[in-house]
Amino acid sequence: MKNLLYIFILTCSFIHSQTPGYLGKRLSLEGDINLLPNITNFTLGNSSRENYNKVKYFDNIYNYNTNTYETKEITEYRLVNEDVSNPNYLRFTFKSSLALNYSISKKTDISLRFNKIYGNFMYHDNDYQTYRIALFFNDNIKYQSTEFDLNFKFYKKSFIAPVGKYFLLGFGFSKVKSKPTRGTLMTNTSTYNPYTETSTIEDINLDHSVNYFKLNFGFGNKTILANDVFLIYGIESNFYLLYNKGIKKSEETYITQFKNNYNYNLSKNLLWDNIFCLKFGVGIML
Amino acid sequence: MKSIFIILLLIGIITSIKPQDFNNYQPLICSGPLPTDFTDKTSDKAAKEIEVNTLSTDSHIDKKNKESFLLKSNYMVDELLMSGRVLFGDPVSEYVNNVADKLLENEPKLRNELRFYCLKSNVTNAFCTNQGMIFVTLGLIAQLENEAQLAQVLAHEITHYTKKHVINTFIESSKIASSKGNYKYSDYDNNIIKLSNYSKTLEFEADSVGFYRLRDAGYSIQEALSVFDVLQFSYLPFNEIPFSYAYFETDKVKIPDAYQLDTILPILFEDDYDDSKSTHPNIKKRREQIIKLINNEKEGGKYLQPKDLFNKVRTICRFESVRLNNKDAAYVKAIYNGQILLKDYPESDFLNKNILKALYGISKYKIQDKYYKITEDYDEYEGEISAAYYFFEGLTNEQVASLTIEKINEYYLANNNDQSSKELMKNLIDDLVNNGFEFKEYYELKRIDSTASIVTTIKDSVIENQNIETENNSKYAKLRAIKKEQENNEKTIDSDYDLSKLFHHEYLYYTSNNEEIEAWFTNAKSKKDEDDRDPYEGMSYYKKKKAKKKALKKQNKNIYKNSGIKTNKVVFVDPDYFVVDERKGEKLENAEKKKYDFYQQVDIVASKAGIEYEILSPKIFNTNDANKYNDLAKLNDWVGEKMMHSARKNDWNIITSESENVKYLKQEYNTDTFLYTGVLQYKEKRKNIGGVLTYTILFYPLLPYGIYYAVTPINYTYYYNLFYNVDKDQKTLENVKVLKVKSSRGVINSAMYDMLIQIKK
Repeated sequence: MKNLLYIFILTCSFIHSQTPGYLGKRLSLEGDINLLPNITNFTLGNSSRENYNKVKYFDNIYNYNTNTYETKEITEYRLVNEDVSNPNYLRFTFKSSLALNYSISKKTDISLRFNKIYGNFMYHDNDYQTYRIALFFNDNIKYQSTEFDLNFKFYKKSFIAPVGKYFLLGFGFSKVKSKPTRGTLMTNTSTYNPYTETSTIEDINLDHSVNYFKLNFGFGNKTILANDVFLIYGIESNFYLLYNKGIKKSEETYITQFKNNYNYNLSKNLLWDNIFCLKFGVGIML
Repeated sequence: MKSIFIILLLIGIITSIKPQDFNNYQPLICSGPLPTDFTDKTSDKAAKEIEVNTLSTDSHIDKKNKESFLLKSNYMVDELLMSGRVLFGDPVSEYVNNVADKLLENEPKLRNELRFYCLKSNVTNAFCTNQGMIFVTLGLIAQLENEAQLAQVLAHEITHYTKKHVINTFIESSKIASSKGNYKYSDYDNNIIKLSNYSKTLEFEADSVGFYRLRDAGYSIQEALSVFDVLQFSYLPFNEIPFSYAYFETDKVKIPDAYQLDTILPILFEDDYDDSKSTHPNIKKRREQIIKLINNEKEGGKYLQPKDLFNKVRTICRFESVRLNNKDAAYVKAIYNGQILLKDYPESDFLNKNILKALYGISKYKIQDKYYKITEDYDEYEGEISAAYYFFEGLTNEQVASLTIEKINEYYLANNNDQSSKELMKNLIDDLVNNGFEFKEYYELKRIDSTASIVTTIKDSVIENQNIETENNSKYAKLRAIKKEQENNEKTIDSDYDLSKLFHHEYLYYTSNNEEIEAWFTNAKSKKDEDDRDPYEGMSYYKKKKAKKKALKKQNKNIYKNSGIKTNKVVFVDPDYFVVDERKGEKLENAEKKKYDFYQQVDIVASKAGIEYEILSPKIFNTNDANKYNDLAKLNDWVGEKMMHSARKNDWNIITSESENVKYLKQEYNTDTFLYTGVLQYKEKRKNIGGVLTYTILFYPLLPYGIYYAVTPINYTYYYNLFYNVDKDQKTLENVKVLKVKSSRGVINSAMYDMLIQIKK
């Protein structure tokens, strides 16, 4: 963040605008509401054509400590090999942002932007074929992303910054946090032997935080509403550079593996959420 | 007491009509309070008129047609009023109003409704608007013989107003457009003939009702007939005198016979032409109708005001006519008309200067091989003026240029090295040199070509032939005599002439100022050499191309800054705003609203940019701003002339005849930068909507785009700026910013600010 600020200040100090911005005002502040429509359903995690049914039943389990059979309620998630009729649905995530723009030339704005995204997604890992385990989350996972961008807006030939049609190019950092999430971990019930193994059903909490580097592209238009107030609208795409948080193979456990997958899914979700963003906002010349 | 008053009045009149007034003639300007016709909002005027003219009995379509017509006509008339071509408070307008007073002495209510204005135009015309404004051109008054003829013209136009001919004609033509009423089962040609007949009926009515109004006012009813001579021969100059070759001759150089037209081309006396598709009946029919009316009617006077006053007013119009000829690049006419007037006012600086300007104009067009753009072949003209066209057509480019330089030089020396004539000469010499001519060539030609072959006969001299025009030797009296003569004699026209005898070198050889002229030639030559020098000399092809591209890019980056305009003050001349929808046509009311907003934008942006400004527009003038209106008129005349030249040849360094009339504006407005600016907002219908919709229906995820495409037209905004420097007689910059968006306030403000900040000193 500090680096971005330094770059911003240095650029503003050294590049002298040939023509000051709108009626001589180069500095402007804008607030945007961004609508992030997403038509991809991630609730099915890595595979998309499988579903699970939760089955509860009572069974007599032998207790070695007491050498007795006890009746226990067993919860099983059974794989149902059926087609999911309509896995896709349209959902919206909202992003709010506040940007400080400075016209460094007649055709260019530099902008320091702060974004906040509040989103959610559903996730479960069903990679039990390999690891014979499954991780399920019953609720939407909520995440929030705090971002700082440094963008350049290049205005079209006939316009003069900071009013008119522009093309946006920039980069930024994003710190994503998902809220502590309660999950259920279980072994694959098809190989589970209740007479020889201990119970493998447990609850886990995932408290997650990860940083991303991102690239921004977009185009839009700024029109003057009245005096120094302007309206912004446009389309933007943000590309998050995805990665799996590296965990050594030797340290790999079921849980870390789940966490890795979780990270990956979160990143993917974030990427798809931000791939198309409708921007509306108002700004004021300072 | 009464007799003293009359004596004083007579002295006043006599003083005011002294011929020497015209020796220091100044172009007409408006004076007195600015009429409300000029300052009122057009939409308000249109709304009032719609209220008055639409009746509850009118059908819906008639109402709509009337509204559309009244709106359009109000905006058109306002455009005319704002152009600066309309006069008020000047001697000619005052005179016309006095004649109107006489005509409408017994109809005070009607007199109050009507406003009479003069129009600075050489076209012989008068017209009436539905709003009650009657316009008479100076060209018409310049052609008239007496006051009664003017009264007949006015009476005719008054009838058009009282009988509501203007709006009725529009309604009738609307019926044609929608094929209704009498036009339902006819084809287009028949409809046009029917409309023409309808219009002719109205003209006959205007003639006859006008005739009775003329009679009732006490004017000579015979003049209702003679005014048709004026209309018939309005294409001829206002008098028929022989073209004076002697004007161009010196003691040692005479115009050879070969350049003089032996037989003047005859005037055609055709008054019974085919008028089946014309809005006006032919002259013969109109004459016949008036002849019938004249029978047994009481004869009145040709003048109800002093005759000298009419002569003075007409002379003013004729002087203006010479100026307007030059402005319209009708240079040969300007010279001929100037010669007619020089007979009576040989000392007139105005006339002498205007003839020189006309000669300069001919030379410029000849040197640039564009002479054909300002004139027809000489045999297209009739009467004495055909000799003038023949003369200039026969002269080579160099001949006419040297002749012009000599004539201007004469004036230059006689008027204490008059700067404006010096500029004309230098400019012409630049052109000659740029076209490969050098001063030395004239000497060489002199040595080779003997002057012995030059014929030294002097035909006629206008100076010797001075005689004040009387009614007996007026244009129309002469025409009537010529007609008789023509009927007796059939003449042949000899169009052969000899171009072999060069004489152009003589002028410069014999000129008393050849040293200075030679120096100008030398300077022009060095300037040409400097201009011809290749700034990329020595560079390889690739480097040269790159350097040129770079220079062009640099120039286009800050176009205003690179134009060299540096000023603390800009005068916005009548900023304009147009809103046009391809489907619905021009949106006049919306445009007017935006125009007033634009004035406010100028105020905001100029103050933000820290640059002084002034707006010259009648819409924001006060009633006391007649002077500003005059300034606007002069600017428009000047810019109009510049534009006309530019349309004929781009990037042309030609000195306009009107440039002298605007130079004073630099002092008056404390700036030499005058800006013609405005916005055109154009909404264009998208092409191939059906195709796009079909494709997007087939690829249904793209349907929202298809709908968006179908319902949103393309908006274009053209923001234009034309900078003129009144001091240098230059268009310093022309720039049109094209934006593919609706003309929002922000975009225009940005562009305007960018422009102002770049030109700010």
